[in-house]
Amino acid sequence: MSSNPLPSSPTPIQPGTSGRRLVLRWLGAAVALAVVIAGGVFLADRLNQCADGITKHGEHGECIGVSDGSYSFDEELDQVTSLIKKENDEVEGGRSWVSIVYMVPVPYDTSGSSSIASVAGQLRGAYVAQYEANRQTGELPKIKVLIANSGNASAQWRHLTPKIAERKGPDSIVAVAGLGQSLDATREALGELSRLGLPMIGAVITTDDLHGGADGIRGLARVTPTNSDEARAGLGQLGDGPVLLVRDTNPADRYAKTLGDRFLEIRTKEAKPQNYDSSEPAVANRMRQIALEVCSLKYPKVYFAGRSRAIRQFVQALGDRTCGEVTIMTGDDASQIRLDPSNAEDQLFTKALDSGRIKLTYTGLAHPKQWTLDASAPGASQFAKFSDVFRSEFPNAPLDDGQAMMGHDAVGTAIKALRDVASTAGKVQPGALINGWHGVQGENRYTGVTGPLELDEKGNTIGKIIPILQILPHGEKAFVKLAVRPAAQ
Amino acid sequence: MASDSIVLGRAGISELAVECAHWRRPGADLPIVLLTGPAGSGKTVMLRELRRVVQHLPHAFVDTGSGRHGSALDVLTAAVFQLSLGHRKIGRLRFPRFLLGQLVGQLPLGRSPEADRARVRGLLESIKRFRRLPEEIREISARLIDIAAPIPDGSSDLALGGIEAALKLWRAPGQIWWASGHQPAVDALLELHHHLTVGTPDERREAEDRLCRAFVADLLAAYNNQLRGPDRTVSSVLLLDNAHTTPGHKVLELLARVRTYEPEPLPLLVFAATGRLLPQRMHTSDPVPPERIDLGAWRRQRTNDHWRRWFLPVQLRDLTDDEVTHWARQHQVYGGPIPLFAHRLTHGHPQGTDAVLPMVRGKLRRSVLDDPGEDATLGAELLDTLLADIPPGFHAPLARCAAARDLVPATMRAALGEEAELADRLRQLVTERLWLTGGALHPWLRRLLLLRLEDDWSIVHLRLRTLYAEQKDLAGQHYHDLALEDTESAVRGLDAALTGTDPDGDPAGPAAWLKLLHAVTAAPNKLPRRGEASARRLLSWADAEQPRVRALARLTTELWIAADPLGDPEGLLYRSIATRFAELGSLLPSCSDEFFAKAEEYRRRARDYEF
Repeated sequence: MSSNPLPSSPTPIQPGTSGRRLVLRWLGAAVALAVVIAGGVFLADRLNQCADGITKHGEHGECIGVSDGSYSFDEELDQVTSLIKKENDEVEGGRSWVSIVYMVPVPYDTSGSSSIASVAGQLRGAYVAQYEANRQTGELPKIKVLIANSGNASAQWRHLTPKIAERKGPDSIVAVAGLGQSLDATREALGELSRLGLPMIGAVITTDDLHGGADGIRGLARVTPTNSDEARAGLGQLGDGPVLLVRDTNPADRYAKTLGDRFLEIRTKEAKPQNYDSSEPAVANRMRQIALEVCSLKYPKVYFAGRSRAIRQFVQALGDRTCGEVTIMTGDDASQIRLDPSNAEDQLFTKALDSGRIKLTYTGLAHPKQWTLDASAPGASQFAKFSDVFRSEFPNAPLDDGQAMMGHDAVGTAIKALRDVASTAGKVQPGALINGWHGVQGENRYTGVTGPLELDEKGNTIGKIIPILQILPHGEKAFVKLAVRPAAQ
Repeated sequence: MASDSIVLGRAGISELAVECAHWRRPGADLPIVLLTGPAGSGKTVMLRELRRVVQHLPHAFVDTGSGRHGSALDVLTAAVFQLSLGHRKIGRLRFPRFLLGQLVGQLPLGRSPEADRARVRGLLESIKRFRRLPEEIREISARLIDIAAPIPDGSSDLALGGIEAALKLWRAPGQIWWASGHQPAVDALLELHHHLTVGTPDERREAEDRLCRAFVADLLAAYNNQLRGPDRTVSSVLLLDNAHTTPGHKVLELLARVRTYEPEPLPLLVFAATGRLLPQRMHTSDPVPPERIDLGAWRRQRTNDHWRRWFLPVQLRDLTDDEVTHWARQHQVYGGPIPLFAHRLTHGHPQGTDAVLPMVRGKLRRSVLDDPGEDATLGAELLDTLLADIPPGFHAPLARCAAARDLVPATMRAALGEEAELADRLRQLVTERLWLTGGALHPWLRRLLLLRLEDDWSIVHLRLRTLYAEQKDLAGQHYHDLALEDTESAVRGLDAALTGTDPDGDPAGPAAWLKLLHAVTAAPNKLPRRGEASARRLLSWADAEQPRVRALARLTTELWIAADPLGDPEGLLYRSIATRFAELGSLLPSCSDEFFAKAEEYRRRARDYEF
């Protein structure tokens, strides 16, 4: 090589330039730089760890990995995490146990569709299911719960699944429950878990096209109704008369898409939908335009195929206008709405509902009051036992969003199914749970706190109870009625 | 182009010039660098940049395509004239041996042997004494100077004075050198004159070699000079443009041949730009891109003395997307996805990029090539520039061939139809002009040609589809299905390959199938509307199909539209494509790994397109 430095945009060469000293200077600088870089790499590696096996990923430095309760992914999860840890430790010394991973998308801020409160609710429910199962006399295997964080909107799932795979053998992982929301990233994560041979059961996944069976994701089941079920129930509740569809066209959100698609299939003669895209900015502006449309054309009913954040903006926008009475029906994601009385926007939301002109209802996944109509209904007694345990450990935690109940039933169904296929010694063959899903039907159905649960060949629920709920001005979820009643015993 | 943009993708060439610029005795072999690339690849621009870099060194810039130079010796004369110009710290290089030979070669001899001898002797005498050169010699000198470069008014005396000074160096080295063979200088020069003017081709060639050796001897003498030699610590540089012309490639051959027999390394670095393949197989190896120039490797591989080993071919490759982005920033064109769009559209072709970037400033537009130029649309004007040295009668047939995926003879004949006999000649034309990339037309040229394929679009694609169907080439067949907007046939074929329902084949593994998918969806299109609207129209047949086929139909159609930057200039389809891949991945566990990776890839692309 020439003894002269090479400029990236070279200056004209001058005769007689000596380069030897320059080369030595560059060499020295290069060595110093190499030392700094090496040191930086070492430090970065040390700073990247949240805990053993849990590492930081993504631009927000999310802690991704699997915890047996030794590590809490968020301070809101501290209590339930420590309870799970305690339960796991007690099981550890026992004869026969297996692990169920509960996978959640822990959010890093409040802008996403999932809230830390929902995650906490599901984990509490999962814990109660574990606690109950481990105290059923004579029943084996015992159950450990491992908490797995797939990151906000499950965007970091790629860093999580290898960690689950690593622990599959040592921790005797037989299933993955929870699974997060109906997003593209979730689909990808489930595909990978399926490839790893892990049976899965979703707690709050409702989108129609995320299912198991021969033409779906192998090994997947769920304890929720589908969006189609929800849309039918919701539209049934709205009754006859014109209904305006407000629809999120975000291509990554399957939940919104399937709600919207089912609406269009059922209500073929309605006017053109009002669309928005939650993946783009200025959604609030769009909500104001839609609110203008609703009020000026005097739509009495709106079916909102979108998520809770946009629903809040829509309600706020309606509240700003002079409008007739409007009933909004939407899907289960509305359960994510939680209000902060000190927040100015939430105050607008409250004011809008307070006016009485706007009624916000939704098809929920579960509600503690759904059993008040008939205390003898299947599930009512289960709920009562669940409630006792729940209230003793989490006296102030909400139940009305249905998250804890769904988390409980997801783990509960998995436990029932795996015990059905376990040997007498409590051994469960890898992948056996897939046959376990097939067995959850008929006389062998699972009766959870959300009601009786049967699974079809796609892992979908059959005749799942769907409560109609209403969001009150200060964010409480009130039970209205059951849109789909439990099947007779 | 601004000078600081020039190094984009070309820095290795400038670096080579800097590396070779410094000369320390005994010196080292320096290559003859061939800068190759099709029209608009920036060859002349690169040479001008090199001229800027070496401006303080003895250098010469000769455009052999200018028409001024009828022979290799004319080119060498032009080089000598420019190399003789003085530079600080270096002084003036003199070429007495070469100039003497050239002057004698131009003398109007042939009256009689005695008269000829007397005139040559008179010339040799005049340069030995401190007298003004004979008028006849001055006139010849002026002609030589004029060939070398047009002289500004008032400078001719200076130039002539330079030649005189060169000829009249102390001890008349020119004369001594011509006398160094087995005959006196007069006889050697007379023989030279005879060979140059009336000799056989071999004799003329020998004469040219001799003059080139004189040039080399002059250059070495200048660097070995006792007084000024130690000051000459930099090489001399020769920059030749349009080296594919006859004088151009002949002078390269001369320099290479003569060097082969010269034991001492020559302090002359040559950069020769050519937009065509050179004859005589001067490209001894495949051209390397600038970032892979390895002078050490070139020196090591010169294991024999064949003259072709002096050449170091370098390809002026297309710019990468990073380089286009950098260029856009330097020219204060908006960043974000605009450079990516320009890169996808032009494939990084430098001239194309230079033309397109200002036109999309601030907003991505599907119609950018339809924008008005000076006399026609931008696309038409750019195409005319690229086809300037292809006979007009071949333009329309070439546009038909552009419909094909590649330019193998069978494909060309199918595309050309009744004009199939033009295939071989057409292939030769584009090969010579370096427009073939991996057996296919350069994507930018192809795009511009397809703008011209209006009325013949359907018939040409139908012919090609038939050809591939007969050959049972699925990729080719479905590629042209899409070009004909027959999405159903293409999708059903892809589905059969994916699921193994094709009776002719086993299911393709995911990697192979993805390769097939991308090959098929690279088909050109003439869709009139923006991406989503076109996609909806083309997908209606799939509404009642099962989920996998629906997803595949949508994926195929959207990939096809998005493969064309004019089909989806803002990258609006990428997110949907990502979703389709994820959907298929979840429906086909055996392919989930690859399909989910593809989903992530398209999500990244979508983010790249967000402002």
